[in-house]
Amino acid sequence: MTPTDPHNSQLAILTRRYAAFSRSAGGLSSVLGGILVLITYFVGALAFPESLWARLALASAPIVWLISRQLLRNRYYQQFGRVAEPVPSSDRRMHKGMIIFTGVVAAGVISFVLYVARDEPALLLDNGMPGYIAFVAAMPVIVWRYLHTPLDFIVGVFLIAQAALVLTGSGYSLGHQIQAPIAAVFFIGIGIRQHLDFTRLRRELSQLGVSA
Amino acid sequence: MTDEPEHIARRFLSLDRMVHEPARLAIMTVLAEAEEVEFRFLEAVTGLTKGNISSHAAKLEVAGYISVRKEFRGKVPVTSYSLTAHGREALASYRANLRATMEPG
Repeated sequence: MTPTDPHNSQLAILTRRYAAFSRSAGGLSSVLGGILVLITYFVGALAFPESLWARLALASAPIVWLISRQLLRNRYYQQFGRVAEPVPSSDRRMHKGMIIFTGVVAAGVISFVLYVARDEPALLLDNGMPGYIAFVAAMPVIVWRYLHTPLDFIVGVFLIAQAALVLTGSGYSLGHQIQAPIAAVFFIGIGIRQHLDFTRLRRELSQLGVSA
Repeated sequence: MTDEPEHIARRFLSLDRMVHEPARLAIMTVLAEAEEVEFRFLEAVTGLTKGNISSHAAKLEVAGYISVRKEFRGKVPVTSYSLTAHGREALASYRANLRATMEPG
């Protein structure tokens, strides 16, 4: 910025803040993601649902989160038009690492399941196993498409892994995967802060004579 | 002395006029902060009219400073702009030149 163009400095700052909501800032969807992690974690550990419908409801958490996240992003946080946030090369590398990591883990888990079921292929159709395999196989694709930040990654991967396990009738016990509820609390706090920033940003854009 | 009035005047005159025009400078400033920006946001944040944005964007595109992408979202046409590497360089050099002109001694 030059010292003589305060209006353009303001334009640059507004654009940067708004662009963040296209990728790295989740706002209310982060709050929802955090709440879903806490619900699935504690319900899965302390009051595991026996009925199929309750298990399906618990397993739908990542799908509900991803859909609401996209809707909030497209309909609310990018309501003045889409602005794609620039991605630094360090973030690109980290994201690539997260995709490779989940790809390797998913391939390992699916290979193990197939190995175990090699003598008894019927096992693959038992006890929610198709759903388990579908969730595990979808994990790297979901990371590639939707989970860009480390917190997104921890929360999203936990929700998917928990959903996969819940379909087979098990879940993480209390104390396991403890990083997930901790990350969820941070996620909720960050989401609230981002949402408040967006409401301020919206006011500022409106003061420029803008209407959504 | 290099800060003679003539020298300063020469610096002013050497500013890239494609960037110096206020509407185009505003458009390029916004584009510099994002990977891609939809027309609607440019209109919103700069307060320029549709016609103004279109004509200035066309000039910037001809200069090779921005690229334009048009698509249909459903039945709605959507135009998005992004700054090219050449445009990014031009903006950086414009800012550096202007700063040098404004700074004392």
